[in-house]
Amino acid sequence: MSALVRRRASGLATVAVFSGLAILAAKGYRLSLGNPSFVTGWVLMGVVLFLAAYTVRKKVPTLPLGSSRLWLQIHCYTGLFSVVLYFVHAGLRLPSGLIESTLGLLFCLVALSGIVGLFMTRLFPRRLTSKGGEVVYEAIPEHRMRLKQAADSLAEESIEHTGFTTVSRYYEEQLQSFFAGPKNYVAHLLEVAAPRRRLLREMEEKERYLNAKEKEYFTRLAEQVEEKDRLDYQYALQRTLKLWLFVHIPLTYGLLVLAGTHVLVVYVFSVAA
Amino acid sequence: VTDHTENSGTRTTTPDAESTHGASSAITPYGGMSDKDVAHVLAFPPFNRICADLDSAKEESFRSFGKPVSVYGILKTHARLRVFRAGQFVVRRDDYGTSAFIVLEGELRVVLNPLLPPAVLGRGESKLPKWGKLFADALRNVLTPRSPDVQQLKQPPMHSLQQGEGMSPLLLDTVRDESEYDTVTLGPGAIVGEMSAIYRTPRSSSVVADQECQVLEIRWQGLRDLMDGDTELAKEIDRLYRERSLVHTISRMPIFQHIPPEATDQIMYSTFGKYDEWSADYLEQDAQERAGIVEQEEVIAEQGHYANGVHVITGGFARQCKRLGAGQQTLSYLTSGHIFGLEEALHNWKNPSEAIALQTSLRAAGYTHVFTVPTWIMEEHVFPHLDADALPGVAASGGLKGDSENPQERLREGIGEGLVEFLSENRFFNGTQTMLIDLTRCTRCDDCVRGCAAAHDGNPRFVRHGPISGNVQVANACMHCMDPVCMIGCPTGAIYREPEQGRVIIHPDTCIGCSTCSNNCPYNAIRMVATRDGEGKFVLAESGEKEGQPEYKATKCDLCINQATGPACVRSCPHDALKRVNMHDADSLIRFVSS
Repeated sequence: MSALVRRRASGLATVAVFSGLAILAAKGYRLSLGNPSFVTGWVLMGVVLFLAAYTVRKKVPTLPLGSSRLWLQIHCYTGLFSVVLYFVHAGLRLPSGLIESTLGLLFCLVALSGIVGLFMTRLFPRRLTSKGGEVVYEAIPEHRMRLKQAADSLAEESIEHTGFTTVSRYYEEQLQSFFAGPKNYVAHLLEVAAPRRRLLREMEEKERYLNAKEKEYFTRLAEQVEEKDRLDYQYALQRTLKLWLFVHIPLTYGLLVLAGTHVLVVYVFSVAA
Repeated sequence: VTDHTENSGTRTTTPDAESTHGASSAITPYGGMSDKDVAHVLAFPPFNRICADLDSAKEESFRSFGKPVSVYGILKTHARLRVFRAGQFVVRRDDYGTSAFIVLEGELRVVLNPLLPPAVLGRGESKLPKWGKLFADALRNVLTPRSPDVQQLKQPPMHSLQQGEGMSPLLLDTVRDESEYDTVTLGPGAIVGEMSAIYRTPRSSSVVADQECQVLEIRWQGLRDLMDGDTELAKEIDRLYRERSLVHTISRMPIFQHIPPEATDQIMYSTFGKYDEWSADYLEQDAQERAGIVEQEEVIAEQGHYANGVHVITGGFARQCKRLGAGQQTLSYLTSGHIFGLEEALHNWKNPSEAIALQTSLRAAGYTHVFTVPTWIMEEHVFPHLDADALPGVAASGGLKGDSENPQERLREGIGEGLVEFLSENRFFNGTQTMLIDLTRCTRCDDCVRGCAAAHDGNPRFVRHGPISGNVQVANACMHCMDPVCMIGCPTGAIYREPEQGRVIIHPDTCIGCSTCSNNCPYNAIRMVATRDGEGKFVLAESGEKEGQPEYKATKCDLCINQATGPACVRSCPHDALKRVNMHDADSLIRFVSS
């Protein structure tokens, strides 16, 4: 058993143990005719605050608060535990009322975005690496511009050197928009190569109408297409890796605000009752 | 990723860097000595022994790379006169320098013991911050992130010599006191700094002007030519080298402890490859050219030749390789303390009737300094006393075993042949704290860069970018090299190796922004950054040639020397993708690749 598998197994086992204890404790509380909602609610609030504290930890890397790696590990397993705790607290039913419904929805969205993010951060780096053509995200627009300029020059040169406008016309009609900006975002995310293959097949089919010199330009354009496709792949995956946090974190802030409101409302009503 | 105002793109040299550092030292630039100056120098030893007068000095009786040269030519090209004030440093211990100093008038004082405090030598002292400051800094980073490049410059010390340039009269008096310091004085004709200049080793002691004195500073190229042409000078330097360096190095290696002192005279030593120019060549090469670099490297010992001695690497790096088809397959890279050819020599001693030749070649990777202990010394004084367990790691020896116990084999099996070649071609084996990123884990989130910025007043000290082999990226961050080429020629000693952990540090208060280190660094890991005051305004030079121009400082990764928690980049990586790896520790490297 590798260290990674061992670590994951022990993490999941710990979550299972804590979840079991939480369920048993809530049941026991209920059997003793108590209402566990206050206790489970406060524990859940504490867990959510702890989960949100990871963002704060990231902003103060110089403080001796443990490594970010350790925090992320604990964050993931605690996040999983919080889902169990949520159901222990709210029960297996749909929440009622505007605040509770919104709070429940936000909790689900935060948990879901966390799980999706976790899978993406585990899968996308491997895919980016195996595809190759690593480019720093901020430099992608510059690379794209360079590729477009190179393709433009090829199309322009082809008129001068071949004496025909076939290549340049095809470029203007079919390829110019491809080079102009990011393309096939979703296809790249889903690892679907069909759009690239289709484009290259179309180019291959057009080759029968070209002479030897034009074919040479077409081959070079096809190389540029391949490179642009790799760049788009990098763009799609790297952008998604950056963007998911812009979903997860603001939703968490919303969740904290609503959870605070929920606590307030609960106490106001309990005092009134 | 970074938002520096930097001039790292223009790799300019400041020819007279030292002259910008205060007006306390009178320096004639190299090539600027007049005939009168040369005639003046000829009146002092060792020149008065070599030439009678200026006319005889002009006779081309020396040779440099096959071309005739004269003492006059050597002095005019490679030497300059310098006047040092009392208390001013001529050389600082642990600095790297490319020149030697010959005393003409006055006296120098070599400080042997105890060592001078780092602050006197212009070096910073690593102090961990107090908890209060730690929290205050963290809070400030969160609440009011500062604009990049803001550096609060400390006020220069109040004595007349700037920090690192020399010592105060009071300290000089203390150093002169025999009961306080163990020192040696050197008068006219004495030479200092020659070992460091010729063999590219750190200065072994600090030398200070005991009174105002005139000194001839001669570059290593000039000293090399003089040694080639003047046997007596060469003999003297050889004697000093054996006495001060070789004997100590040999005696510190347990395997050689039974070699008697008289036999050490038979140990040969030589340098291979390029002195400091290799970094310039390296920077000009692209990846494809680097792939073929092994063929250009100077051969120290060749596969198939008789093992006439055991080679001990004492400086720089060497590549151990084996012929494979028409090319050379890299097996390992060796550095200071590694021994090559031991197994073959041992095998031949044990089995004289079945003698074998060298099984691999040894080539100079950049620059290499090597001792060669002749086979007869090994057979008479080493092998009979050898305990098999005392054998050094055979990263260094011939590699006959070919099994998993052999470190080279282990490294190749552990990280793969491609990565070994990649690290060798790019000379990344120089690093003791190389920043490696596992791209199959890295989510490109740049938390490492943000962590670095938070630890350095908003200025990240590295770029998350660099060459890639498979899933390993070597990021553009200072590797804290074992052989720090960047330290060669720093005029103020601002860049130094911190003694506790060997980290290479730049002390901002002593850096004069001459770009020497930045230009020397083969890995582009040092940036020149315009400094600004607390209000974000550019700090302008108040005097000298660059008066009115922004003041630049060299900056680079300092491994968060002033942070209580170690390198922020490593601690900030949520995915365990970034590590600082000592490239000489095969196990760490294997662990990183296989984790």
